[in-house]
Amino acid sequence: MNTEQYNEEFSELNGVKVRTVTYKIGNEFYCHIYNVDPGATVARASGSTVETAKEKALEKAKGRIKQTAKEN
Amino acid sequence: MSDYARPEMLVSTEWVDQHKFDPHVVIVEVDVDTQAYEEGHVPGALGWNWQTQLCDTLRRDVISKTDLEKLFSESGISNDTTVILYGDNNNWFAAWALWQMKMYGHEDVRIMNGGRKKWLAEGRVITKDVRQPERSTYKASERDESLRSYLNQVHSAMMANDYAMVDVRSVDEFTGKILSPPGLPETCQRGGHIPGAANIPWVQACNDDGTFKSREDLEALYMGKGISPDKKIIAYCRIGERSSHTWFVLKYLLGYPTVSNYDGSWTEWGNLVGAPVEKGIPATAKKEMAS
Repeated sequence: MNTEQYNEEFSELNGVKVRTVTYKIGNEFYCHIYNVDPGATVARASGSTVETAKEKALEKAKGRIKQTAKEN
Repeated sequence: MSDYARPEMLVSTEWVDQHKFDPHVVIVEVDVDTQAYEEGHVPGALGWNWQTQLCDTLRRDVISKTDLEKLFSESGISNDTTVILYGDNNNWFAAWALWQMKMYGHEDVRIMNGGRKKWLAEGRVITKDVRQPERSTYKASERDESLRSYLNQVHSAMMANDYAMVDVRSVDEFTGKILSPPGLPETCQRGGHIPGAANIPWVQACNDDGTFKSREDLEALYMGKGISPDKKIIAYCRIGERSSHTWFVLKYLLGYPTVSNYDGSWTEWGNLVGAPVEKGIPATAKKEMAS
């Protein structure tokens, strides 16, 4: 078994730069969303298509990024 | 990789591909995302969970000698085994595991340059099969505390000219704009950094493919901000994992003689009553940026 269709793209989510990585292993697509700085995983999801995996991961990531603590 | 001070501390993905079933080699994946291993991993690799297997799960501390001996014995690691560590996020927690292994005196432990990201991006073979290793007997050394800094040492170092501190968190964490990395829930009471620390985010030590930058580039990066080998260096971040990555770079790729990891890091300092905190970008760094 190999990783197929490995792809990385950069975008912004609620003002935070994120790196979205997608790939396929077997019949499953995986999506990982990382904050660009420092580079930690914010959300991950899998699905039967790359679009569903991305959609699920993005939804989780948006919710988590909104909760980022800032000093008052 | 041959220009580094200790080039043998790194192996390439190609080397791992060739040695993945070598009986003298144990490959271990350690990820930030503890579920990543289950998606698929290097054939023959074991998976260690940093949240449950590489720390004391009762009090805040690194793994105990007894627990490390148990983990290694169950993993089929002997004292003379070559251990190859790799993981996601450009080897954050692989470096964390290596730092602990060095504290307990394991001789031959190395990092797969580029980590999980490079292995996947290259389309190399992966598996979901989990290897069942044959049990070994492992005897760890007493912990080498010189590789670690504690709160009182960091406090003293803050005033000492022969020390330099490097904060490897993001610029926004360093300046105090945010209290935790975007999207992560853990926080602290105060934002900012330890007075006098230089800010060199850990990721600046890596190329886009996850491999480490050249020795020349790394020297320019750290020396340019006063992190020089004539000083005793203390690296810190939020919980000590990003700083173990920088600790690895300074100690093994650049060969700095005295480097320690302050694993209490900002989750200790930033929650401490009465600890001095500096916010924003220090005046000296502003001058450097302007010139």
